[in-house]
Amino acid sequence: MRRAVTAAAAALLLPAVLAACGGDGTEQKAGGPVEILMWHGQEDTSAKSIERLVAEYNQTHTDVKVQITSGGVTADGMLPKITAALTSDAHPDIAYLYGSWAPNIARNPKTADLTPYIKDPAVKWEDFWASERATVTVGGKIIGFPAVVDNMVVLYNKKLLAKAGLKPPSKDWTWDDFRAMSKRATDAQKGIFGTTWAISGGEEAVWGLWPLVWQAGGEILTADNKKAAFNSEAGRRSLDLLRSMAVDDKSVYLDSSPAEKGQKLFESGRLAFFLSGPWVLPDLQAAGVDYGVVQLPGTAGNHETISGPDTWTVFEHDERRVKASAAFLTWLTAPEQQLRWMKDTGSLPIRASIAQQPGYDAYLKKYPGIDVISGNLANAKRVRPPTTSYPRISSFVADAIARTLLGRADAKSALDEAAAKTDAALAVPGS
Amino acid sequence: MTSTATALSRASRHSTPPDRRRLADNITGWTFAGPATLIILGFSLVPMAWALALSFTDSDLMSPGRNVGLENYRALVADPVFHQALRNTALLLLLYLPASLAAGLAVAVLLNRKVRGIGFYRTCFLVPYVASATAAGLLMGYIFDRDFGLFNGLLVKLGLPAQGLLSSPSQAMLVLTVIFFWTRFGFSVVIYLAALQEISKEVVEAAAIDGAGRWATFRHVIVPSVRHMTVFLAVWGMIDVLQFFDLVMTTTKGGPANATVTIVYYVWQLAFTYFTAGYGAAVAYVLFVGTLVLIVAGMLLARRKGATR
Repeated sequence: MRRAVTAAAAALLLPAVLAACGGDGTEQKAGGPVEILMWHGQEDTSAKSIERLVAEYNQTHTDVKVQITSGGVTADGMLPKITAALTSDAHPDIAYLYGSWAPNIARNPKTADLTPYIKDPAVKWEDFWASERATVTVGGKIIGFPAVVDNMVVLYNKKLLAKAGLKPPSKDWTWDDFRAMSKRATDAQKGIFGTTWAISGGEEAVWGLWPLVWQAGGEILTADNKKAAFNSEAGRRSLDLLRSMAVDDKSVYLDSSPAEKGQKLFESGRLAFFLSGPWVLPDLQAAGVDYGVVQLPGTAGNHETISGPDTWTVFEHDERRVKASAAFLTWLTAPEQQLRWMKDTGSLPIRASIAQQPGYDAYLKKYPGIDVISGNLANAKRVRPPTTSYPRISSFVADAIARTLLGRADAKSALDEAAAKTDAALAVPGS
Repeated sequence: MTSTATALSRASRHSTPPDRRRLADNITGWTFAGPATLIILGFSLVPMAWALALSFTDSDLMSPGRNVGLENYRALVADPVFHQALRNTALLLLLYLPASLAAGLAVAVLLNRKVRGIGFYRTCFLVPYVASATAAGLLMGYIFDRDFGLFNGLLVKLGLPAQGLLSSPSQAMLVLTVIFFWTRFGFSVVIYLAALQEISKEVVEAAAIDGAGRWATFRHVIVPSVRHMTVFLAVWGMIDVLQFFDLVMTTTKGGPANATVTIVYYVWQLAFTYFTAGYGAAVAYVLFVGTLVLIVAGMLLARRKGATR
């Protein structure tokens, strides 16, 4: 009996102990500056760059003090981390989160609504690109500020193309050109491929398909986000093009590893073309690849691309801290600070007025090809459907892509099957 | 509360030394055991109870979620990916467990002798087990790459056709089994080696005097002597297989076409990439109960065999 009582007492004590272990470490002193905590999720150069900016903010501002850590994870691992933190009430005020997670994140009652703050003229909200604003706006609520924007372009290896007797692609090239050039550049004997496509089960296999579908007049879901639309004629033809490249021409290296191998192959001169974004430019320069950049091939003159804005999402502790977070993010995303971040990291301008900053030319010079990617922002018109089921849908499509590119299924039946699963997933109430 | 009070009052009423000492002992005991008890409660039992509660909701860990009763468990029955994860894990179990026990014992017997440099050979077999699964996964991912891997390069040099390996839905799980075996079976070797060194020379010599050859000694002396370790390794290996996650994460991410999704990897996907934590918790609970049943069955079987011997 006594043992049971002691155990019960221990169990009663437990929440107190756990609460003591948790907490976000920013106990507020009344009257002093408002302290906020930010998880930046950056690595190497980007981490150093953001830390420098924050140090400068803390020196020049007395009312808000920003504590900054990576959050203990990279951007890829931020979602499980923030989920756990929200559950145990140990969340930071600001976290770096991918835009595709926004619909799910916004469901948490601790996600802040910044609508009153972005009306401040100092924010210049309309200066951010439209796709970024759309990403952080979920159900009429603004959950954060745009952090980084990117888009998909084609990188090509100049030497490999020359060796195959090919001229660099012009900006008005088509997917048929892409297929023909890839086939020509492939040299199986030497282990050289035209291009690569991911066949692992993740979004990296899927996002490259959407521009093809959009260009051909297709959509991912129906307008009400209730049913799959990717198995249309446009979707079928898009996937079939990739299938003929992978199966008939054998010009595609099918990457079953988690994402990075394709980039390594491009760096070591084994791929003629590589579909990717601005974030690889610093690595390509470090590897000494003689690369060129061109917008995506088009369909009937339409070169639409895909972009995935990342966000600085704000979480609530109290009103004072939300206000302080908004003030800090207004400063961080202002053109002067952004240009310094862009020069350090090679990322793209997140707002239009940055191009008028003195020093913008030096940035363009530092990253050859960045002007093409920056100009390509105009081709980013649509975003992936802002539904909480998108990650699940993406896995169904990834499965269809893998089976088709491996020659195990034809484009139509694979997409139809993925569409049936998607419809079922979307039919679940609350999805 | 009341019972503590009565206990205390009883202690003060008859303040005989043994009673007081027992109380003092109890307090001392709990002071030592308390922190560990809290840790076990906090990090095992409470999360387990919480996960069970979660498995009856449609929580996404973001919003509170609704109570859905047994709906998650019902959905499991019809979920093709869950079935595939079960099949993949079962295949791994069937291939890995016998192989690791047999190879572990065989290698341990080879290593259980006094030759020059034996310490080096023993170390060689343990190194893969100590190496991090992430490093092993990335390394093996390169070796078993379909187009650029060493393994296919070797096949082609020998005049054999190149294989699909990690890019092939039908071969990827087999390749992962090989990698898993390579990283884990060093553990069986070490445990068996320790067991072999416990076998007294007299028993082996007595068998030799009775006319037992090498094989008969192995079959009738050595194998029964290490039987307890075999049971331990079988249980341990089973838990290892059922928890298999890290290599999947670093080599294939469950692909191609779900060919290498294991149960735990699926749980992770459900909870942290598909935002269906309630459903993920249900899968985790099925795994938990399944593991428990397998282990208890295995132990009972081993005990019965031990009794008849």
